Amino acid sequence: MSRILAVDDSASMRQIVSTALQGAGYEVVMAADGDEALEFARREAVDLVITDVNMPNMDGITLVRELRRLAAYRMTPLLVLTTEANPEKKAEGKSAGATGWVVKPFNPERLLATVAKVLV
Amino acid sequence: MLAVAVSQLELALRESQGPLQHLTDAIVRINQAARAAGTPQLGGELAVCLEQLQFYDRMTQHLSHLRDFMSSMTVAIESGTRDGHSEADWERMRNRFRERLISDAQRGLLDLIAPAAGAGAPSREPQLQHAEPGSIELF
Repeated sequence: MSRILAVDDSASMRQIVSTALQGAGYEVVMAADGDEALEFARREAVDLVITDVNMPNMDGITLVRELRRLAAYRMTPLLVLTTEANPEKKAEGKSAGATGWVVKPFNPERLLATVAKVLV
Repeated sequence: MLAVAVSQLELALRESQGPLQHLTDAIVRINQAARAAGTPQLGGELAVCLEQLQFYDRMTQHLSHLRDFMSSMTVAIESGTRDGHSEADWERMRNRFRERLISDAQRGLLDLIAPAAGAGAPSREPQLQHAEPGSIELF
């Protein structure tokens, strides 16, 4: 089954995302901010990254940009999961290389459908 | 007094983190037990719990933005007594705060109470729509 990296500075949000994904059988690894996620990504590949935007040390959009520079992550689906609804922020995410934009609060079933779609 | 309000906001945010973590942990355990017991009818209820729990995260973001806005107001007022601030400075602060708001309700409330300068003139520029909570867009 696919492995997913979930990145959020909120421990509760990491658990909520992880619970939703593990319930569908995905393996989930977690990181508390962009720095931690990037360090992990330099060592190991995953099938999908789901990241928050507003995080300390390295925000989600910078993380997306940095991941796209890694050979192993050039084609990996990168979903942004955020409270940010600002269209300019969304355009910034798209320009950085994000695959999609999910606005919190997410419906677990809809998120799972989206994950299944991008992992095909 | 603004600094007092900021510190109270900060305290409220910190104090609620513990109970939220316990609640999230409990729901995770219930979910695991339900899966182990093979009770799929609980799945829908747990999905509702997971979705609703996120409103706390949303509230935390909103209050954090409010705290940051009030902090910047405090600094601006204190420095303003020495250097003075133009209308443009206050407008920039207002607009920076508006950019951080995460729902039409929050932006609408701000626009109602503290409308932007020149808000009466209709804009000829097409307004970009903010994404709705729960929306998903694949690029």
